[in-house]
Amino acid sequence: MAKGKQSQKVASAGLKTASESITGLGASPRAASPRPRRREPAYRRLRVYAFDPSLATRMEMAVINQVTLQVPWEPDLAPGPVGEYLEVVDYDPASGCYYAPVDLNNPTVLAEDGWAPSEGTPQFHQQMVYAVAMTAIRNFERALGRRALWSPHFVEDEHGAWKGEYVPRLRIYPHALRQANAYYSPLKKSLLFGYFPADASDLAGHLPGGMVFTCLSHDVVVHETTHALLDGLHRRFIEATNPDSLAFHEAFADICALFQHFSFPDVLKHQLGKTQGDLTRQNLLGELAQQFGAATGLRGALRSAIGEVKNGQWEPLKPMAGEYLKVREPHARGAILVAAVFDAFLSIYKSRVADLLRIATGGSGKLPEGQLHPDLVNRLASEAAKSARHVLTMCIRALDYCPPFDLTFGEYLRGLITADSELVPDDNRGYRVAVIEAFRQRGIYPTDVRTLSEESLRWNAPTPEEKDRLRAVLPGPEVFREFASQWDLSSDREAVFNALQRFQARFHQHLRDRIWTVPGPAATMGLDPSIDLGKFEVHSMRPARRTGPDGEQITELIVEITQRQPVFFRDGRAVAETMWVPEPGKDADFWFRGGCTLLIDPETGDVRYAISKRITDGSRLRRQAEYVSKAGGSLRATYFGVPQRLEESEAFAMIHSGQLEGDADG
Amino acid sequence: MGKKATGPRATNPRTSKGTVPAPRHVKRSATKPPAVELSQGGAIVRMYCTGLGDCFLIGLPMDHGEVGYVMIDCGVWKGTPGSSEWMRMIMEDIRQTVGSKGIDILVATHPHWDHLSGFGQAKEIFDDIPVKEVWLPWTEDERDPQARRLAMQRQLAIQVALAASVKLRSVAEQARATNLDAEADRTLAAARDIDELLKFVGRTPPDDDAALDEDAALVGAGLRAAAPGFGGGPGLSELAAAPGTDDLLGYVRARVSRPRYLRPSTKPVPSPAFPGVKIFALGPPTDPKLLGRDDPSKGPGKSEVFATLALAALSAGPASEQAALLAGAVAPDAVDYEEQRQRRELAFPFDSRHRIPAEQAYKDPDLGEFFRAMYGTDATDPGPPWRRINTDWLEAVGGLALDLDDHINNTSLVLAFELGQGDEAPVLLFPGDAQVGNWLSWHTLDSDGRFAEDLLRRTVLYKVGHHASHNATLKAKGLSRMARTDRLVAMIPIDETEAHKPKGSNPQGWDMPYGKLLDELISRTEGRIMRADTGVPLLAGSKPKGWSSAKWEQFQRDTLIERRSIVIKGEEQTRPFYIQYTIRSGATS
Repeated sequence: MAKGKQSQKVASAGLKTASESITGLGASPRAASPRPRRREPAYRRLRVYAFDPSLATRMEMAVINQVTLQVPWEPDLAPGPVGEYLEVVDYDPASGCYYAPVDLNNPTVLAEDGWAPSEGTPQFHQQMVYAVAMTAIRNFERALGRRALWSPHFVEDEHGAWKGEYVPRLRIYPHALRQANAYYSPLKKSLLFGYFPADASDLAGHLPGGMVFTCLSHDVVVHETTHALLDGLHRRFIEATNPDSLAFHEAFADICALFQHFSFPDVLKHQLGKTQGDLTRQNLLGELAQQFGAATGLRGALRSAIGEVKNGQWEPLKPMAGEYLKVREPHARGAILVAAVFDAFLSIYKSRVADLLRIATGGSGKLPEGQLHPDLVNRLASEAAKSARHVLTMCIRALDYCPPFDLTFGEYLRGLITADSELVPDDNRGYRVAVIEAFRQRGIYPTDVRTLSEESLRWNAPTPEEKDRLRAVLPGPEVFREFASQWDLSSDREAVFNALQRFQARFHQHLRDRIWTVPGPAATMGLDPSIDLGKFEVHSMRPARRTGPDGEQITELIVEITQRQPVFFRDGRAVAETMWVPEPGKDADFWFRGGCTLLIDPETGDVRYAISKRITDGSRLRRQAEYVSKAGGSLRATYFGVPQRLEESEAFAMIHSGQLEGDADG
Repeated sequence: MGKKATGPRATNPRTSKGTVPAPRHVKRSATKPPAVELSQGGAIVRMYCTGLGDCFLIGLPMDHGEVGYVMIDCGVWKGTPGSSEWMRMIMEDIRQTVGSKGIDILVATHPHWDHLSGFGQAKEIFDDIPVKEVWLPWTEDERDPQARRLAMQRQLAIQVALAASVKLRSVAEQARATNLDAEADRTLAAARDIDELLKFVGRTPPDDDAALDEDAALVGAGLRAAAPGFGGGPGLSELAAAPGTDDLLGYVRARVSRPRYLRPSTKPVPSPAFPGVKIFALGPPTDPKLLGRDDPSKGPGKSEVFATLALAALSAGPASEQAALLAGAVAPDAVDYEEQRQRRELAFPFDSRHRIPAEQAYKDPDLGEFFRAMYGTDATDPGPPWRRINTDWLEAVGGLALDLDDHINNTSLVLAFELGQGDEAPVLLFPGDAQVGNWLSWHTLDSDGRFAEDLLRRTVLYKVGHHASHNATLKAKGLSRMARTDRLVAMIPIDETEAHKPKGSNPQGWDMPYGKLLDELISRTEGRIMRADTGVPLLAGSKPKGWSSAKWEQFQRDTLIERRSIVIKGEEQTRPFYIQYTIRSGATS
């Protein structure tokens, strides 16, 4: 922490030339000027490639090749850029050199909306990763109504205890690797982007052997930033405990990248015009990483939510119910979830524009051949943007309604439905029906619900008796109110982090003294006193904000409590121990977790939802053991062994280069 | 069926050298085994227990009652203690067994050390054995353009891996010198992982004493690398001049004037040697997709598999990702040649005017403070060491080395021997170390896959691929199709102790044999498992449940374990030398 602070100071103190010149212009709040102060600008406008540099080489697409993003204004943005959330450090170890950091506060740069898009200028690369990543962060924060934190950096103190330190900024290395890969490193709290010569066999759209930069792909940058944001929110989601866990990380990152496309109005209008408003036809919005795919010889986008190229022909994707049971590789499995969400978006969009199309066609709904009227395109674009924003918000908000570990797609569906019904109690536009339908078509549903109706998919609320028992062991509402007030969109992030630590300790102490005294609440929370001497962890606390039906602000408090137990493979069987006795150099084969996510009303102290996964769940333990032992089935595992704890290995480096896989036998 | 084709050995002119030992499962002395009858439709398969490595000798009936020999591979994992002497004992035994007529067909399945080392370690004995034909996979044919391209890519991948390992070691040293022990350990571990995989192609890590001893023995025997291949890489000892897998393959190739390069086909390989036996080549596949993948179920577009050799092999140009990696990994001062300098320059992502070399960057009056504060060079700089990325780009090479290993395994020449005539003629299956892609390709040799399916169905002896690792025996389209569970025998060339020794950063060693596969093999063969390390477990017990006495006695008669003693590090060990199994003609079961 001390080091982080120090570097921040040096970074802003050492290189102040640009902001000083701004002071001269009288725009800075720090200027001691007698003239009336100008309000700080809300946004910084920065030019970036809309998708990636490859569009510039296609005549029809060249017009939408670049967009200007409006990034939240950071007054103290230092060269790098180094801001509140991000620090771009352009060190290229393979080339043994640095590239000079871009100064976005330079007046010329400010006046021209940043550097002009260019593949040959590293400073533009720095600007683009900053602008795109900041946009992704902004979307995330808006949906959740609070500021985002990165996952803490764990250090061992002198007593051998692990302590999480505050990480102010995610680091971005735009040119870290010489390979067709980019990944989020949970250990370094960094995004590492690679560059590589394009595949020389496919001559379409890129210079064979020409350099391709992953940091210039909008989709890749959003994807990796989202990994980091998700890790900051749910640290345990990178534990591969079931086939869905890593796939979810990938899917969620793709969903954020896809829906961010819809926030570019010009691109949206261009593509809607081209597809006659039908987004199920091949279009850029539903595809990811075009240049990357082509440059690695895939003859198309890296991944697509709407179709795929088969034998040289583009074909729309059809949902197959069996796929979810079969596909194990994290990206491919994640793609099923992405396709489900995108399908839901498409039906929402279709229902929203049905009336427009009827008006435009005199009731037939069938558009004539040829170009659409620009007014109609504008209206379609606004509906598409709204639908996209809604679905993206829904997807992000659902994260607050998920168990803190071992997430499955089915549970995420329950999270989606619960989150949305909390936000919009009345589903008169049928959004939730669209989501349920899209998931059902792909065979994704939770195993523990009776029907696929909204009521049964919503997480169960505790019974009044359970509520009473929980209230007896939880701290009073005043504690929750005090905490919730400290964390919103305008709070200081480090103060939030410190408050979080304090409140978690307080909460833990309060609960520890009471939870085992009565039998009820522990079971509701998925905990068991016999395990680990009754030790548990208050894993996370955060406020969730929403606007209620009458426009009032409602805040709820989310508390995640977990317990763990070590499991060892002995004679081919998974044996769970109630306690872990540390042995030098030997860890458990895996950790089995139990616990819950509680949603608490800070006004009354009532627990509204208790989303729990029992630590005593033997069949879940067996499933996890089965899955973990299967992970030993890769060639990597034959030679290098299975990484004992995924968070200690560079999981995303391996997933992204295809080295981590499901079982190999076809 | 199977008419009797050989008379008693005593009347045979080849008796003195060409004897096939009688099947006995007891330990026997070195005296000559008595003769045995080998009728048409039968075969005798001998697995020499090299350790973690393959060496097989197959006796097959020829015309006029004679026995001819097919030898498949001869090698052991690099750095296995005592292996030089043991391999010479094996080669000598082969020489005595095949006699003056020698080996009819010599097969090298793929260029990996654990399949070829013996041809170098026992070269003077090997040179003394007559060889009539040499069979190799088409991927080793220098006249074949696709094979040449593969060889080029393979060479490049080896160079990259080697350069990366050397660079990682030097970074580790630097880190150690600046008291960044954790980083030094991590970096060294990454280098060691690459080194272990490079041992497959014969490269010796600088701190692997056992492997260095093995090289010293080779060099002492007068064997040298023919070409300064990757032996010329930076930072290697003088032992880099020891032969590599290319040289070993060269020895095998040079034994005949025209080696035969086999492509997969549904037609038997035309060979006059064994009129009653049809030999089919099932792999390696010619489809680059199946050749390059260890798991083809991950098609392109479904996953981000980038460093795969399959993709690299498809790209003809020199500007491959690997070349760029290599250019970065080679230290600038080691770059003498103009061509290499140019390649290095082209691999840079930006013009030189944008580049600030690291050592200058820290002294830069404007930016030096920024670079030190954000990144830094050592423990005293404020840039936190835990966020540095000095070697992340090189650690990807571990994946490349894995792909390389995989790819070479997948180029294995796969042979199926059909013994005798008829719909139920038994089949011996020798897949080398073929991986998933190779296995799947057999089923594409004819339109409906019946051909491979039929051979698998009739398989009575399966040489387990890749020392029984998890992904070299296909389940659904492989083992499950072997229907002769009443006869099926599995020979596993494995040395579990050696496999489980720490390898690279992995203290557990290699997961061979893979437990689940072993279980599956045991159940499919009714327990007829023959392991190079522990022998034949079934023989240690009594008659298995459900077997007739005749069947049990027959199995005991047909199985022979020869044990020999060897002194390793002053300690005498007696262990299996070979395990031999006789396949009787006809459909008796």
